[in-house]
Amino acid sequence: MENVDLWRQVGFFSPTDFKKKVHVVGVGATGSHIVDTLASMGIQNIVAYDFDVVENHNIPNQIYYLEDVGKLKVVALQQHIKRKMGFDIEVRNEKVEEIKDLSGYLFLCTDNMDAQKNIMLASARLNRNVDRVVETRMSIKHGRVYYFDPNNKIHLKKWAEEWYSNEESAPSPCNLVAISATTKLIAAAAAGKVVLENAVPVPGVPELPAYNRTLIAIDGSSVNTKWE
Amino acid sequence: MPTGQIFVRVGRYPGAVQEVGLAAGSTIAQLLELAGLTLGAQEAIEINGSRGNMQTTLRGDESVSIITNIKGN
Repeated sequence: MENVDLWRQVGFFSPTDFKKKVHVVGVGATGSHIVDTLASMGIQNIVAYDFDVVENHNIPNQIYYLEDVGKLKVVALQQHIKRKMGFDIEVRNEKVEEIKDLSGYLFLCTDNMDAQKNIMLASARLNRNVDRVVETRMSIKHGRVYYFDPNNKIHLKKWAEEWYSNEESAPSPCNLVAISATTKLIAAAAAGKVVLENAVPVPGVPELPAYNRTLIAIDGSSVNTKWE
Repeated sequence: MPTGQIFVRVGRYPGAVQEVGLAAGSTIAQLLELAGLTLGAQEAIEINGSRGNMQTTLRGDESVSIITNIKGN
């Protein structure tokens, strides 16, 4: 199969120089788009985790097609990336509680705040093999992206301050779940942070920091916070 | 005791932000009352991007947001 030509981006981001592994837990709304975005930039060493199947109501704000309904999300996602980019990503059909072989980047994109915290604490916190944790949260009109070093105690403290339980979270009525526009913005912001930190400096273009917290609204406006 | 009037930006994120004038040393509770905003059960207060609470006192020029505890995905 022919390789995808990535020459239009390599002056900024070269996937062959990106040696880290990317783990994406939960490949629903934001997670499926994050995998699609990173794979579309040539990142192949992706591991996607989910235990769910594609349902019809997932189609509008996830990467899946009508023909995927009934398939495991990880299988449908693997097929999508293979069809689009020509390479395989690793997939694990499982409900994640802990990742034993974690390294590189961990994206937490589940729909469960307690699970997000438990996976982070069990697998990433003070784990020298993990470079960054990226956590997404979403609603109908805005989302949040957290991007932090799980070995930095200030980052861990700030993230803990902004974590809340499922019970403390606002309920999402089933007809008020984030739409495609919001979901794609959140996913792009999350994937973009990894790309930014691994990008080649472009002469004459100011560097943009990878902020630790980004609030992003449906109109694309954002509020960014750096934790140092 | 702080004196004089201060101005603080306040709003629910995402949404319109208003500038409110109030006495120096006022609390966020007083600010929200003046701005006509209420804090819901699944919402949090932020002041300049960090967590605050209703008793946090204001010195002027802060940005105060009410932000929903969202989850989703």
